Amino acid sequence: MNDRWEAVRERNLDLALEELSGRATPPDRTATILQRIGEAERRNLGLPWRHLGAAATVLLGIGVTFAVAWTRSAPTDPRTPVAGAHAGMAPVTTVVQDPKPTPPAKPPKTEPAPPRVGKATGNPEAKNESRPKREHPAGTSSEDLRAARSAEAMLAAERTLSKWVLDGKFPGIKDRIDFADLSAWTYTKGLEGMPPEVKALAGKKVLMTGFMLPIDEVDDMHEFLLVQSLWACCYGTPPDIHGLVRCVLPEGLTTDHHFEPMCIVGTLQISETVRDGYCIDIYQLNVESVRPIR
Amino acid sequence: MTSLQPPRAEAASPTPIPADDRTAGSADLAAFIRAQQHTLWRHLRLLGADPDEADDLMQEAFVRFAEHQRRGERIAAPAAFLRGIARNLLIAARRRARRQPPSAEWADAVEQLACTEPSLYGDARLDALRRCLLRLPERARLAIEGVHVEGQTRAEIAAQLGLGDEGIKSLLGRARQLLRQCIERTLAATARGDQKP
Repeated sequence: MNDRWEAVRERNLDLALEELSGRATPPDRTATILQRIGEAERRNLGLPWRHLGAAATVLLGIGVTFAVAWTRSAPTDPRTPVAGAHAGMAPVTTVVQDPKPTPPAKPPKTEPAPPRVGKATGNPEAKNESRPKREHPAGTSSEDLRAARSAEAMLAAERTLSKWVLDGKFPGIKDRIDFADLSAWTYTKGLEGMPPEVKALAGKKVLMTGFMLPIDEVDDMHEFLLVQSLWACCYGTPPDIHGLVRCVLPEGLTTDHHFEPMCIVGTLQISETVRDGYCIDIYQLNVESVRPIR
Repeated sequence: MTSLQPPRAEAASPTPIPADDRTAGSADLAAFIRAQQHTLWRHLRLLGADPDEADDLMQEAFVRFAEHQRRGERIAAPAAFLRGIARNLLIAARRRARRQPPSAEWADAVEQLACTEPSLYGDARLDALRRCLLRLPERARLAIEGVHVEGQTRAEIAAQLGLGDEGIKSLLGRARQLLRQCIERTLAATARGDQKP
């Protein structure tokens, strides 16, 4: 601050010397300034009239707009009942006289429908429709609901997949791999700290389920990320590096993006993929087949 | 803002306009403009405006000031208010022209100078400068006049005085310091004399 203070005073001395030399002298503009002030005041005095003109223009525009809207909404056919007619309504071909006033439109339901109760419960009260609806906890947002639906879909997909495995739909595969298996260790750097049982999966044919997360493409994807939950990727904390699997399709084959949980069979590779100095994944899946679970 | 100087003196305006007297009319305004225009022009120059730019902005600042007065706003310290308008106008003009506006720190330092030592801005400073130049040692006066008044280069002055590059630089530095001290003493003495009955 002291330096700046000194610099200001030095600059002030320079300006004084400039004035002394006659190179830059302060002008006398009293008359000019007074003239400009007078002009500005005259302009300001005329301001209300300008405002009145602008207001009249706006009112005229509003009037014309209403007139046009009224003309368009008025019935062109005298036989068409006036009740219920409004702009943009489809022409009425059948005349129905309804003496009752049109009831107001019901507001859209904001609360979700109560869950269906299965027969397995055997609870006679379950069929009673008058029971109180289930309330979501306070603060439940649409993102939370979406996340809950995502998790439910994932659980259902895992159950379906386990059933398919038991049914022998995947020859040579005894069980599916969970994300919990792949990420049940603390990731620090690269493959450091990876348990031997996870390392042992390298090069083996595996069955996985999860959600697709496009990398660069949406249609005709050559590769995508497989994650356990879309909630974790879009609405919450993204998964750590060991919570995602980069799926690579064979050369010449592509797939489209699906929102459902996917059933993927392929060979798991475990290696650190580094791009631009950053580790982007440690699990890769060379896909043999991919299909949505519906 | 770090304040190393005394607090701002709001009574810096030598000719305050009665803010509550809107009927004071154009006579007071004209007197105010006449008294403040040079100070404001120098303030803008010190903020970094070139002479023409300072001229334009000074005029615009007075027009804005009169507009505030016309609306009946109470302006407690008209000179400081005017400087504030001018500063904002300069910043806006620089931004429009995509040029570097004065930094806030520099503008604050300039404002402090205007508040604490208004005499350094006034017309009296030129008289003080002339008197102080005459009091400088011969070689120092020649160096200052040659470089700052006659527009000679430093090398030319050095050749005339038989000095090297470092020598003329040192001589100019000492001369400027003496000059500044002399001007401030002279202005302070003038102010004390004015306060005497």
